Amino acid sequence: MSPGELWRRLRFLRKRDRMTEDLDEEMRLHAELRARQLREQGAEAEEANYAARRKFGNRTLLKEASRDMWSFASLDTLWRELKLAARTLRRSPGFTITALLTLALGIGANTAVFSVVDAALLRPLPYPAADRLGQAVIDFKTPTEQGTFSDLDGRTWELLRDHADAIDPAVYSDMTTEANFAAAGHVGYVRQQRVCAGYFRVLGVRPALGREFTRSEDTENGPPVAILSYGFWRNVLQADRSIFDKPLLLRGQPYTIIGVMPPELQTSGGADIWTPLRPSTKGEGADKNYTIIARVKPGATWQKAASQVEALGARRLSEEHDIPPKYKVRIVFLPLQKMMASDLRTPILLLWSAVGVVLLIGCINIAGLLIARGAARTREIGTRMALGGGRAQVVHQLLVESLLLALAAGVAGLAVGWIGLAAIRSVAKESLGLWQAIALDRCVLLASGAVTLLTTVLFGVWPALRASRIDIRAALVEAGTRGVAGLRTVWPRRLLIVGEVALGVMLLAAAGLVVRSFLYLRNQPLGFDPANVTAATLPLQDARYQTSAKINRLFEDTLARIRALPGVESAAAGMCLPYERGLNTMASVPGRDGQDTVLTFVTPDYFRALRIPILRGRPFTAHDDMHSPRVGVVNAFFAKKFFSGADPVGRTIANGGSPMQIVGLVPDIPLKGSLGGYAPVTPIPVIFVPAAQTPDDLFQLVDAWFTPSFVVRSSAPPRDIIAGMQKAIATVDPLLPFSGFHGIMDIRSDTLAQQRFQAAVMAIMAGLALLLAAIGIYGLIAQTVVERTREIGIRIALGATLRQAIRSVAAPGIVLATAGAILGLLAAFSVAPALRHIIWGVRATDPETFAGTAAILLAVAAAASLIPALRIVRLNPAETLRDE
Amino acid sequence: MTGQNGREDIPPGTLDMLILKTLARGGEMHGFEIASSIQQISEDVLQVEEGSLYPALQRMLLRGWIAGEWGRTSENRRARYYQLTRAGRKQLEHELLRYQRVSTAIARILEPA
Repeated sequence: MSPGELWRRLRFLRKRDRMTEDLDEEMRLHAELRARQLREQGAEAEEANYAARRKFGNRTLLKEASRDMWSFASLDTLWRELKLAARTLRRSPGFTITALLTLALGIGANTAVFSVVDAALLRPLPYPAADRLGQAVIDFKTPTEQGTFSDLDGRTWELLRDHADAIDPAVYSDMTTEANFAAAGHVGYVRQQRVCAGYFRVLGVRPALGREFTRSEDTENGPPVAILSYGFWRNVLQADRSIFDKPLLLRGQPYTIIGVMPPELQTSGGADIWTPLRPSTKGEGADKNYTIIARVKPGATWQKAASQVEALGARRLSEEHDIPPKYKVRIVFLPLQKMMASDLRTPILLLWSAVGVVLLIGCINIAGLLIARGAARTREIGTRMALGGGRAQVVHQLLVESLLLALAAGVAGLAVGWIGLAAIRSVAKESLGLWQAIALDRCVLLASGAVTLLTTVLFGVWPALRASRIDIRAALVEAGTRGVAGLRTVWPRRLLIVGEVALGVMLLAAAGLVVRSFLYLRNQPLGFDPANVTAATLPLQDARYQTSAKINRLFEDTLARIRALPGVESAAAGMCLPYERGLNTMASVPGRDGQDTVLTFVTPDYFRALRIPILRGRPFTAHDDMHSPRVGVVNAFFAKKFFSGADPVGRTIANGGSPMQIVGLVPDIPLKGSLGGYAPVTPIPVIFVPAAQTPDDLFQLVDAWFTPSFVVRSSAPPRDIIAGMQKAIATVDPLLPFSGFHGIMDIRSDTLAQQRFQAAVMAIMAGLALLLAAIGIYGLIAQTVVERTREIGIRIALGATLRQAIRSVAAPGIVLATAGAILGLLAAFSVAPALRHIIWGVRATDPETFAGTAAILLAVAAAASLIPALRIVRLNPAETLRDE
Repeated sequence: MTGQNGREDIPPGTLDMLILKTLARGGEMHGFEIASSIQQISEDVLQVEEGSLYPALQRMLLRGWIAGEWGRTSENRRARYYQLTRAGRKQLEHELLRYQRVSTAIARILEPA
């Protein structure tokens, strides 16, 4: 169509009546002139008029043809078809509402979950040229495991910094901690992260005010300097531009503020204040505590950068002598985007597949409904085709109907997705630890549009093609009699049922595994008594608390005041509480050196405050201090693992280069599984050591990473206890308030947030799948009953019992569900191993879960088959037979 | 194909060309004049059916080959007068060329061997 033609058509669209009248007038003139000509040739007047008009044939048809020529014919037709489709859909509200609800829920759930997928895995990092950012990580392959490990040491950092000229690297600590600060009349806590000089340059973000750290500030004994986030600067410091001249008291030490970052900066650490990392090969740098990222330099290729990192990594690894020969270990350079979400990949893809399966089951249901509808409409379609409707036109009309349905469902689905997202946004963000915003952005909208279109094609094309293949004569005749149920329409629906039951079983089995894993983690034996315990966190990385003596003095003075509060039974402090993580360390046990274990320091009353029973030996006392021999208490898991369950009390182990005598044994308390291969919450080998015997350097290291807690057992109401504790610490040190209070089981919730979210979403999806499968089976059986009413009437009239009749109708539902369940279980058995890294306490092919899944599904299938079949009871054979 | 009185229908595919040529020769004409002109010049051999004339005119208007303007006949009747546009002239040349090529080819086949 040329532009001129398009213009003329558009003008016609506006003036179509005028132009039709013009044509009419033209043809009238023509006819008159022709009649006159005929008259001149000697014809009778009336006959001449008639002949002239006849020559034109059907004038209305001519006008219509001309109008079709001028207008956008296909659009016009589409509009007419859409109107017809809307009318048809309105006429069967049951079908329309079921289909709309199914699709809206499916598309809505997909939209909401896809927003999470997008935020976690797909959206580019919020930095310029983010595809040139990478991370150096350890890639390992052992005979049983393979994966990546993102923590590196100071020596690796120095090699990369000094020798890799294709990259601009940066190093930081991924431990964002709470730091106490005092500024502008505030005393409070701020999230602090330690990063190297050049960290922001590598990300590609310039400070909004001031500058970032220099190399000289980022060395040992460098000056105390800090960079603030825009939010902290504006909200806490009231956007004060003179902050550069005033020191900020951070962790009890005056810091000079040298920069403020722009408001749009987002980082994975979520920090509000940055201080120099001061990377080194000693202290925390001696071990793998650093994260190294890098930007590929302009002009250098990714391949070159990657090969440099790998070569330097090989040099670093050649210095390690304890890598078992069967292990393949490399240091590689991977895209930062990929690394940021590496832990979330499996759980998020699982959730995504789950909603995808639900949508697929929904589509299968709707395809089934459309087939049934097509069968019910055989007569209508047959009539239309008999009247000359082309096959293509009929298919077209049916497709337009599905398109309209999908369109409406797409809009409704977006609404459901929007609401769903509002409901899960904050939960998802927190429980999955996402740092990019979860939003319905363009990418999500495009994906939802694609899903909607795909579903149209999936559920629209096939039934449409089937419907168009009908034999007109048979259709008209058969539809009139309703003899026996038409096998042709039943079999495809039966296969669809098998398919959706199979998918449902797979989803149900996966959900079962995830939920059971969550319950296993959640229901770990406590080993302590959480009732009446209040916990408070007290970050200790403070310039004034650099020695063991000072820290222990702080503990003792504060605890003494808290114990004096009314109703307090006992009070203690410890590096970590149940469900938190301990310090990963090595211990030498008899016969074995360098065993991975976890360590935590505690004050003597820790076990009493948490009511952790001492199984053997004794708890710590005030006499276990720097002047007495080092002692430790271990848990049952430690005893089992390193002493084969024998009584460990009295045995000597070594940790941190000095011997330690085990004086007590406690039961297992669930901790966060910080060692590789342990569940998120698990019994793990633990050594408890007295805070009073913890050396200065260990305190300094630990306080940079961990926030110690106070635990108080008391019969008084929590509000009074909290007020009393705040007063106690304020008396001892007014600049060091508690940073938070919580019940001890809240920690379990926080630690298991991701598992809970996963289990909840999977359970909801499995529930939806079950519901949809039930609807599908119900629909099939209900339709069979309607189609076979006459046949059943005859059978009953001939002496069949109700029981037989019901059985013959309901049996297919149960048989099909059984077939689907078997297929689904087989498929689930082969797919489930993919889950083994995210489920705990239950095997990926757990027979109980699988049997339970099958049982639930068969029960639902039996109910969904029997309920519609019971309608037969209300059937009156005489009426049925008369009813044709 | 032979009609009454030895008249012929317009061979398929040539109607547009005939209308365009008639307009090229006669300037502005209304529908009846076009039909009469074709009939006259062909000495009553070619007869344009009204049922195909008006759809053809509409099609050509749409394509932009002819333009229509309302005017008055000598008897003061309102009539739409058509005339060739530049695009129409080009189209005519194109159709003539094609027609000549085809008729030459047909003539060659029919030549006695």
